Amino acid sequence: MFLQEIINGIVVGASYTLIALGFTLVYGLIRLINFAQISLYTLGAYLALFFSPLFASLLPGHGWIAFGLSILTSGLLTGAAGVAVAGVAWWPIRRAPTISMLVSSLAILILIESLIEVFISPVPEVVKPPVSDRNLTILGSHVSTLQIVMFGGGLALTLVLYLFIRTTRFGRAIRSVASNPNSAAVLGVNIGATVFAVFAIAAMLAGVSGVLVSNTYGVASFTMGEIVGLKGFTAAVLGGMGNIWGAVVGGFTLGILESISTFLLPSQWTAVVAFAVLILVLAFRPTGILGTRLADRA
Amino acid sequence: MKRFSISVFLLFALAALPLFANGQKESSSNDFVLGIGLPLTGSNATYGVASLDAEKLAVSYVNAHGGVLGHPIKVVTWDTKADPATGVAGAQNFASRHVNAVVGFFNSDVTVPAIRILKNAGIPLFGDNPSTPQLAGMHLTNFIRITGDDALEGVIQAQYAIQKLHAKTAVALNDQETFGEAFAQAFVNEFKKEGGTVLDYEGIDPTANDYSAILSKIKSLNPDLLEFSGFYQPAGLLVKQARQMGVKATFITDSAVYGDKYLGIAGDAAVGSYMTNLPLGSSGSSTMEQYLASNMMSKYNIKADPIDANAFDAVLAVWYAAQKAGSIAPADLIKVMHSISFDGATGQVSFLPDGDRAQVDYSIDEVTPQLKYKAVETFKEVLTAG
Amino acid sequence: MGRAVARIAANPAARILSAIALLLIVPFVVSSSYVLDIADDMIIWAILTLGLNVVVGFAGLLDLGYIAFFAIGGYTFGVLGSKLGVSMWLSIPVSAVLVLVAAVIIGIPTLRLKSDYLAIMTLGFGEIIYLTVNNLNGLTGGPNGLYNMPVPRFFGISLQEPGQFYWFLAILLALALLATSRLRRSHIGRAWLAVRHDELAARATGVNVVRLKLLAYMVGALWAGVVGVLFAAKQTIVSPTSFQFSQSFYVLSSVIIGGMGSIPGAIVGGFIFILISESLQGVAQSYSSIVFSVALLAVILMRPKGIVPARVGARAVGRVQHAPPGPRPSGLLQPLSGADAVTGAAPPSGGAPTAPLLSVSGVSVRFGGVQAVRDVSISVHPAQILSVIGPNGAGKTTLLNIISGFVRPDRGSVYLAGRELTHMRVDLRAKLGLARTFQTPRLLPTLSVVDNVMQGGHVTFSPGILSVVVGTTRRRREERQAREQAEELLDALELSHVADSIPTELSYGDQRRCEIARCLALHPRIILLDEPAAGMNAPETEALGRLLLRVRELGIALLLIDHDMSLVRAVSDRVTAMDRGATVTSGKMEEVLRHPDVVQSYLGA
Repeated sequence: MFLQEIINGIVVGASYTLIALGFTLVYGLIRLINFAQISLYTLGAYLALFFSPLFASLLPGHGWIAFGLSILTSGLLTGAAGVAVAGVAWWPIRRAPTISMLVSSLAILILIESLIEVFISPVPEVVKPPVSDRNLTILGSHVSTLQIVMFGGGLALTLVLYLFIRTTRFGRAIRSVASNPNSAAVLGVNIGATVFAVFAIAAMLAGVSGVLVSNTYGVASFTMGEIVGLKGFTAAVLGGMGNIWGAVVGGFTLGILESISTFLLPSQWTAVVAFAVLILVLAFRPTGILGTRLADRA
Repeated sequence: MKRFSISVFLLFALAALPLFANGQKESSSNDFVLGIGLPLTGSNATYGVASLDAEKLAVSYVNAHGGVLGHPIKVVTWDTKADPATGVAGAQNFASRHVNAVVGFFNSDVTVPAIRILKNAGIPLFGDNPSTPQLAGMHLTNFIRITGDDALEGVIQAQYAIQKLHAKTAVALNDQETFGEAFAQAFVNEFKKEGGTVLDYEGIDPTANDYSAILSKIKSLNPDLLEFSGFYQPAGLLVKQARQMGVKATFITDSAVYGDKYLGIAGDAAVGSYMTNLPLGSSGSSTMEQYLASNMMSKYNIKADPIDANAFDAVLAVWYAAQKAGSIAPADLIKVMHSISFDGATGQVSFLPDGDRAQVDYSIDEVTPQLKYKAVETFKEVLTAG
Repeated sequence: MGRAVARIAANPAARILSAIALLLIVPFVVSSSYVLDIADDMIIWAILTLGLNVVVGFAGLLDLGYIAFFAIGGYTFGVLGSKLGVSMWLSIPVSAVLVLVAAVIIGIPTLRLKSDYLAIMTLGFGEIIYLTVNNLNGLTGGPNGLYNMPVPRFFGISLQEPGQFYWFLAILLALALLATSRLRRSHIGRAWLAVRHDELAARATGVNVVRLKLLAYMVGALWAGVVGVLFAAKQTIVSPTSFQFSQSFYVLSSVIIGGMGSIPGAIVGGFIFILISESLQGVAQSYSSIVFSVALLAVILMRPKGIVPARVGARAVGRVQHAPPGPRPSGLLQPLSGADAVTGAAPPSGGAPTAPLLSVSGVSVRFGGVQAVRDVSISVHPAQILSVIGPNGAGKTTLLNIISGFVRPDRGSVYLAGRELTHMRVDLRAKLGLARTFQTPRLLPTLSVVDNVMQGGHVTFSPGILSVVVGTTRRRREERQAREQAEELLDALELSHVADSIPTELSYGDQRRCEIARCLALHPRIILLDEPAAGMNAPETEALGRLLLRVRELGIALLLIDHDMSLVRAVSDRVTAMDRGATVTSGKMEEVLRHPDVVQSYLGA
């Protein structure tokens, strides 16, 4: 029975990990909390609402391929949106004080969410995945196929991201800018292009996460990103901001903590637990579980 | 000249104020001005917009039948954004425009402050869906409401569960939003009164859409019945995930969940779930019910639900009150509003002195394997005052 | 008439009161309850914006959970009123205490964090408070809220009309404006701006950064908590819907759109928010969040200072014109009545050998794999100029940072006038008379030159915030004296002509002199100078040298790091040479420069 809680926690945690990846990536590079990402998560989900039925009708009988194409398309479009957002809300003020950048990314978050609210839908929408969602029993616990996809997707994306940063030339460029922008510039790295690329990658991650999570649970709403976003940020901090595997560790840990807390507190308080974790981590161990060189204290 | 900036700007603000001074009476004196306050944006927008559609339908019905004592109804709307402060501004606005009557405000916490303002202005409020028992407890003379209060549905759920479903143990959940908590509390009280055991009663995490943690807990408690009070998204998710996890308990929920989206989210898991509902559109329904159901579909492509029906009847109540009073003056409407009686989309409509419905029809619906709602029991509920 | 207006315009308090007087006319002019209700909302919102402006605009703390204090205010009256029948009037002081306590509880962990983590943490606290009032069904009425609070009474009159609340709200606004304005124009306001723009420089001038941040937090919380009570009373219901994150976001938008750090800007921002929300009502209500987020973005990208930018370089209370420029009779600042205002000790008479003022013994520090400073000992006597020279990387700046407290040594000790400084917080060292300049002049960009200098004298102001808010005679005198002194300093340093300019408009040499003037405002015993001549040309360097000698004549010791040998030669009493973290030799300039190891260190690899 206890195992079910752990597994529940890990599955929920997978959704936090997906969001945490985007935060940790951008923060690791330019020390900026990109609030706007939260709305790109929502945007991804709504784009898939359109593309899934489209691809499913074009490829009848190939539900998984349609799903994959839908994820890909939504991801790419959100990535493009991420570049646009960076161009509007970051590039023009990149030398401004941190407050300006934080507020502008907040403004973008509210703007995109409001546009979705007004022009797409103000109410929660049903999400029907183009694939059949079966219930499975693993280790005596119940999970659905899509939950496994979400979980696997989270791990896979983390691994890909990690390898990308460690082994490719572009990944090296990212690392050099993250550790010392000045020397990176001297060495010929195009800082602007690197940052834009990271924004795009983070946005794609956010969009893909939105598709995966909304399809796993079957609903989407224009506010779906907000609290999950905050919990995702908590996961990133918990695991270690700027640390890719920290997103995984933080996400799973937070999911498990929430799962266990249901036995101690009525579950309307679960969200408070998550925020309490955030505050405690920031207060006592801001470098997180796995730690990071980029920890900030005044 | 920055030195005068504060003063200059205050003067500017003052100058801007009269723009909002709609102190004069709206339009020609021939119209019956009806204020409608609803959450048209924000978290309850879906219900507000649908309610407005239903109310506009009722208005066009009334106008097609001669209007209110010969006066056509003119509607002025106000978006409360489900926020008390905005609702209060709306009530003030209606008062300053000297509207004849107000229909609103959907949210209980918006209605409570708004109605005090309308009371001071001598304007009647024909409540659509604000269901908190608090409103009846305030004993306001200018208030009636079409919806039954929160406690009622919970009581009905409990009675049905014990008597017909033979449930002995239950877990009750609520969404920690406005009406859910009161419903669930009423259910818990009645279930215990009828001899059942409530194994657990708590709120769900309003920010989550993965309820596996609490469902895990519920599974270990193994209740006969799982009760939930709230809106369709968490209801659908709960029942779907419950079945996924192998929770066998019968699921029962409230009328706000009714609709296609609940079925869409829950899918096959909804089969065999129950909900309290208004006997809308079922056989034996009244003329008004059928009028509402068919016109909501044809004009707005919306399947009418109990919330819409309450909204619709609120406007009809205005009409009947004016007929009974023989006048469209707000003060006269207030005098008679508690004594009217008519056949509406929600059945036989009449009121108690404290503003509550005297009699509400309810049904218990079950979701069939074809994913349709079927009324398995209907009953008429008579309320006593207080 | 014109002169009366001009005199009102010159006096900030008078300006505020006359604006409020205009506001008070409104209920006589307007009869519609609806309009007065809007006016009430405008004032409530203006007070919230004013409060958040202190936190964000003055102290630079991005608080995303500000509405929590508003919630505490509202619920204090809600709970006390509906459960215990406590009146609104009594709820106000209770709420004030509760929000101040909450501000401290929330502030202490939060305020040590950098701006982005601070923002998230305040967001977290805001959500916790919202969720808590939503969940405590028994105490706070849960999602339905509380509504049975007693109707407030004022001398027998029940307050139920918006027009009635208007008076009290206007008075509250007036008080908040007055208090905020006085704080802004005081040493506390200058310290806040220092904290916002340059924490390092702030510390060096003796500002206790954490305490100032907490103070800003508490002031902001207080306005929100008090107006929260009135809000609950006016609305007759307190429910969680009024206190969600979106509200915090909208208050923040109002602050920024109105003008961050600007008091009239806060009022403007608050008023505009309500006016726009109301005018969108019925026209395009669903667009309001779109409108505000676009407006916010537009302001940040195109007019970051907001609609009414914060004024830079406020002229003194009472002074309307410049003093005529030119040399003062004494030619230079008089030593302050022969007494050191900081410690009361008399400056030493020249000549007789005295104990060292600054005594550094055996300090060492290691960064990662590098031993930056290795067993260094130096001492500086009162009214003495010691220069430290050496090639780049010798550890000179690190040594300076150790003495000033920005770096803590692994071993060794630092003493100033008999007090041990080794591990003392930076700002406390300033209180003991230690001032410093930085490699690039760190002046505050949004304060005028004279205000920058005045900010340097932060430690000379007596503690206590209440006296500032009330505006006691003692405080006004203190402020006036500080200003006079600052102006004298600027005169002496020949900077009077730029007294009202902002530092970025000054030449590099002038900025450097301004920084030194700021050091002098602290009434220091010793000034540490980190490469003051860097970037200066020959004439500027000579002028600097003369200035430093004059400073020494005041009895102030100087510890100087520089590469410019002409400057070093011109001013130094003693010279110490360093290389690779250790001292090489010490003594008169010429001896040191002839020492073979010193020569080697400059020429060597």
